[in-house]
Amino acid sequence: MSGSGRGENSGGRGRGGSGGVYLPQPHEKVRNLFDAISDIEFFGGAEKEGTAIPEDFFTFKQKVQFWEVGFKAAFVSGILVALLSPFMVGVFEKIIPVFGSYEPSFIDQLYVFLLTIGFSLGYGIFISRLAKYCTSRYGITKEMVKWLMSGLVSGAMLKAVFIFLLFHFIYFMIVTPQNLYKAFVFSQKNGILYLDQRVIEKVWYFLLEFRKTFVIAAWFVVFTSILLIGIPLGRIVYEVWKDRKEEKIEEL
Amino acid sequence: MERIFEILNPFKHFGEGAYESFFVWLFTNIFQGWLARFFGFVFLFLAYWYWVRREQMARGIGFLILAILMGYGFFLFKIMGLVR
Repeated sequence: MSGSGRGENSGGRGRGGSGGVYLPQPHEKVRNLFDAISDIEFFGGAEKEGTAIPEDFFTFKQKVQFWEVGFKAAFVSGILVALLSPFMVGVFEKIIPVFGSYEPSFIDQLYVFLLTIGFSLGYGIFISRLAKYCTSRYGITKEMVKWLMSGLVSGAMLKAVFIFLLFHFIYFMIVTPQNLYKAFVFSQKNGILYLDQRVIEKVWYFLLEFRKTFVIAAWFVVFTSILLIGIPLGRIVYEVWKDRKEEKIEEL
Repeated sequence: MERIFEILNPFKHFGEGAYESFFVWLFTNIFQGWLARFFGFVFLFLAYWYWVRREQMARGIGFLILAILMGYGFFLFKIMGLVR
């Protein structure tokens, strides 16, 4: 179904076998977002030029694959945001240096922000291109976008809940002053870590400051998840509204 | 064989202190200032391009790691004692 060379095959086989009626090709696995978007664009192009293809051609297996691709895209980009966001907050709070500076300039802050949020933003914008296929003139394409979006929303929501709980667990249960004290005493007593008193103090204060970033980062991950879902959903709502408005004008 | 190791041994060509200070200088200058910013933005762009646009995740992650290293490398190597 996906991949190059499908266009000429489907056209040829469809015309040859059924006298000009377009038929989708036998299914090939949709491996990633790129495959899914290519498929959607392909079917979207076919439906735009001809009539809507019945949704029944979009099989259950394909639905699951599209959902899976959307889920993975949201989850992977979200995990990356989650890993980098405590450091981003650390840079903004002037706890961690970026490019060797504790006083980040606007460019430095932009860099850190893009490094952290860029992938969610990129995926969101990339997927939002598909919103134009959610109008009433499309059949199978609309269904494909719907399943991809449902995977994306599920992945983003699951990730947001998981990271939110994890970061709060780290803040309230793991990196607490009591636990840090116990860890320092244990490592010094057992000879795991030989540190100078001055260094211990520095590390102690750094960790106490850094643990706060987890709470801010937890909320930031929720915000980026909303952004990842919101960008394509917003575009879909806009396209549907535009379509309905055009239909009303045509009716008049 | 011993001759090869002798050639490869940097302490035969430089003093221990000079060798160490070279690496300290290198790490200090690579991960801060305009050079780090330039490479950071280039790597970040390539990471987006390969991961999001071309869907080549492995290459994207590779460039992303380099971008992270450019941004946070100074902090990381400071902990390791490689930059001052």
